[in-house]
Amino acid sequence: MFRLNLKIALRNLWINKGFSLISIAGLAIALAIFILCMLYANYERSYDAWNPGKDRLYRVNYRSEIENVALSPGNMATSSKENIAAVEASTRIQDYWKGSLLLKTNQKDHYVDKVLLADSNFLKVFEYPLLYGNAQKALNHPQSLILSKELSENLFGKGVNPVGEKVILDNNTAYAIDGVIDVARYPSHFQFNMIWRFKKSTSTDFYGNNYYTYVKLYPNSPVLETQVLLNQNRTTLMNAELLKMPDEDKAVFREFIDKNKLYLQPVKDIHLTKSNVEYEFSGNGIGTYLFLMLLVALLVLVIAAVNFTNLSITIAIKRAKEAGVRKVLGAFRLQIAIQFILEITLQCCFSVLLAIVLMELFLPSFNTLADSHIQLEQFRDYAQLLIEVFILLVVLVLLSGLYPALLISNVMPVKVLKGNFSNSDKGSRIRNGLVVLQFFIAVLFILGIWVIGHQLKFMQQKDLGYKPQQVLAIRLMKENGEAHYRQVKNVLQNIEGVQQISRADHIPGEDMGGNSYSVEGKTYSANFITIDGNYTQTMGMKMIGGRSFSSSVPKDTMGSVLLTETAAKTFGLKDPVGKMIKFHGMPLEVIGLVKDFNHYSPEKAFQPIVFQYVRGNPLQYVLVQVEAGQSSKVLSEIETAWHKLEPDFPIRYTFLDRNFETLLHKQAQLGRIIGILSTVTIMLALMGIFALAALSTQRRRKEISIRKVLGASMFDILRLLNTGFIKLVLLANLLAWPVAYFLLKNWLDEFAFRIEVSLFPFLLAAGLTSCLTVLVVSMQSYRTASSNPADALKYE
Amino acid sequence: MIELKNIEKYYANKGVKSYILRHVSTEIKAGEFVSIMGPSGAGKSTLLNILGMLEEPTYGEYQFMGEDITSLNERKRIDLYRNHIGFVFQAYHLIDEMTVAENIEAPLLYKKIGGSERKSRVADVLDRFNMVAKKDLFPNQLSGGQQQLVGIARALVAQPSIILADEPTGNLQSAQALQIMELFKKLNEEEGITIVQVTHSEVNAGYGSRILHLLDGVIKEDLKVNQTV
Repeated sequence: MFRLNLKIALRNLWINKGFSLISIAGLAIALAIFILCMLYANYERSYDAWNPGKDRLYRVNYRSEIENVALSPGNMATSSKENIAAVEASTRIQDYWKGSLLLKTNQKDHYVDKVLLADSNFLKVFEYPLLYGNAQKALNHPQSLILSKELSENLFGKGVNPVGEKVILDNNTAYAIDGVIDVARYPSHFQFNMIWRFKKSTSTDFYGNNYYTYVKLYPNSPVLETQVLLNQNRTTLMNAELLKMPDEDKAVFREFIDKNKLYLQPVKDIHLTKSNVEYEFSGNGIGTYLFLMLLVALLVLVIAAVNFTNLSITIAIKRAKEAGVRKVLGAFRLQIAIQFILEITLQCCFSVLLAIVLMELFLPSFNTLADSHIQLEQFRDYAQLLIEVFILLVVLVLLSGLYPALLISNVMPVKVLKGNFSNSDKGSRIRNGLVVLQFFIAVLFILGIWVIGHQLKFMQQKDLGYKPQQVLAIRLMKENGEAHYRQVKNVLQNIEGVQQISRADHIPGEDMGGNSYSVEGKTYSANFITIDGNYTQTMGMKMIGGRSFSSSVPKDTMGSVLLTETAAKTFGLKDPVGKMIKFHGMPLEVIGLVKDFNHYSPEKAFQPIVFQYVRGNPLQYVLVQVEAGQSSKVLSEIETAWHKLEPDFPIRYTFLDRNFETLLHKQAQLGRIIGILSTVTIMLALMGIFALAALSTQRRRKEISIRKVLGASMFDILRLLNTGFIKLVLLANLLAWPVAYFLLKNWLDEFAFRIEVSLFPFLLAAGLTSCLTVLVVSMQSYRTASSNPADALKYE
Repeated sequence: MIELKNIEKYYANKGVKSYILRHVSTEIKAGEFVSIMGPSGAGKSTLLNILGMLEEPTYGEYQFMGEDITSLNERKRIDLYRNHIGFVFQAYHLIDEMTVAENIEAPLLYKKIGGSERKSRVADVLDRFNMVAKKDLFPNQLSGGQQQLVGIARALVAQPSIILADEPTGNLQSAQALQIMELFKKLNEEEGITIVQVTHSEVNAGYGSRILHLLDGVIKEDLKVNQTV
């Protein structure tokens, strides 16, 4: 019986090949998207999950009334291991402060970013399986390095074991590579291309909280008690330090000891759970984002499943006669239902297979699109996926097959055998409801792509308050000293097309330092940027009042600042030029007012920024204003000149507009993803309409023929067939509008500089969906509408 | 075999009862060949459907082989379909997606008969109906008469004790109709299968042993047929 049923199922697929193709392919596309998202979710959930000790791994954070920070003092790692019995292993790590590091091998010079510093116990806490090297030996001596697989392949080539190779860091010291980690396969909440040893395994840094400390506890250790012990340990260490201090500093330090409390944060939660911990590694706390992504993928899947169900219902009705005959031949209801479910399972299986093929094809593009590193290389990469796909298949079959199966097995034989059950409108309410649901989702996506696209364009084209297209920022790598800069300046000035030169410690987009300033007894916090003379001219910023810094005024170095408009407003200064503000008790004169500019992406509001002259952070960026339209020619000359200026360091530069683009990366990515999804959903919804239109014309062939005999024109017929669908599409639009408005307004509210949502995109969505529907329905029904009525009526 | 007592069937529509059958009482014995005749709308098909348990009477008593049908659950009823009743329809109602052989085999599948036995029974029937060459064709590749032969073959293969036929020759040309009637008669006489058919045609009714004349839901005449064809 099973074999016969299978055979009949296949024959049915073949007879309805057009519809079968639509439903199978449509479902496969949506499934492929869903599976990709599922893979992504699996990958995100695998962060830190590979670590055998993941359940007893904690990061030591500290918290006070006003702060919650992922850092702790430097010696917490070693001393907690020594003093607390529950701690099995501990380690501390740190981001490399300069951001990137020059690495030289025999063949290559390479700037490495994402560099971590770690102590020798790193691999005891984070038990990475090493691709190459010995975990017992790696990081055991001060000149020891671990590379990521990606960096290793970059430097030494694919499949090459670099262990034992020597490299030179920062033109300075030789290091030995002791291990390679496949970071993409074993993702963690921190990212690195290279792990570098701290110079010393212990630290005497008590005061600052500059390190990430991780502890691995023995199994079944009480966390809360360990937390108490950690705090006791800290207090003991700090109190010993307090005794050595000069008396005037003691009060502040004591407060520091008392106010801050350490606590343990489970490492396995860091990546997904959103916490408000400051100095968290970037890219964490994305659980909500992930959830939304799965939700969206689910919506797409729902659309395709709806097509599938709709077609199944229609086909079920067409086959009611068969069900009736079977019943009269002695089939139980359940047997008929099972047969139908079997057919749907078969189609779903085809879809899943096709989806897996599509998924494999699109995985690389997906990785690029979503910035992910999903790999499907080994069998075990598939194991989890296959289980999930199987569950998905079962759910899908039940959801899309149960109703049609019920419908068909409920058939009363008399009715079908007597006449035209297939002409009845059974299941139409559900079918129509599902069409509305599909277009509801499609309209949401259309509106989404419109608004996101326009907001993105708005931000890209916004006047930022400086001239990003013309300013080139070159990083000084050799040293930041005055003499070196003067030499650089002299050389670059003579290049034709270079208009202005200055320097700064930060370029737009980078996190600035924060300081507290007091004005008339009140304290305000503001960001500060250290700059050289000529800065505003080079950046193309506008001065509203006062003057810029000048090397000819000696007082400028110590006693003068420039403010942005927002800074002046924050400080409550009406007419700021000439007014005084105080920094750590030191009086500063405001000598100029700079028009507000977008230091960050326009997502954020204008920042209060104080510019100070030369004094402060090292001025590591040389800013060069290049004549418009000359950039490539000037750039090549600068590169040539740089070989002589910093012979040991390859040039590192960026145009500020390119830098700005990276700030919008997340939004652009969202825009692309929504773009793809909306195209797919519209396509799927139209596919559904196409099939339904086909089936409804088929069902109404007799009616159409009679109407034609009675004198209806082709236009009348097409209008008749379209009206029903258009009503549904418009209803979907009406339902989707408020939801979309609410969602998009919420999204836009996160932007300081935003567009307003007009009525136009809503009308556009309605127009677009209606036009496409009319087009598809008319295309489909044209043949029936124009056929000879006699053909249809003959058999009735 | 079949006993009907006071069968009534009506549809209540906005308080108005429209009767299809009224006070129908009759008995059909095993081995009879009964033709139900009457003008359109007389209730012939409804009566047949009630006999076949496809419809339930609104009122009345129906005993099939000594069992009270009105109190039968679905499972029992399906058991009767499987073992005792074969249906033949005016529109044949073959399953379009199945070949001739598969169509004939279908009732056996539901009877849980073993594969080899099924094969041999289907082969037997095909042979008897001279359709071996057509066994792999689909219904739409056959003429109407051939389709009805398949329909009858399908009804017979499960070896029912009664065949209920609703205008079996209604869609056929007269030559083919004759052939089908001859077949019914042969089955009735040689194998003792009870046959109840609905028909418009006096000629067809002449093949049976008894005619029930229905008019407006009431049995007007119950005639024995003189076997003089």
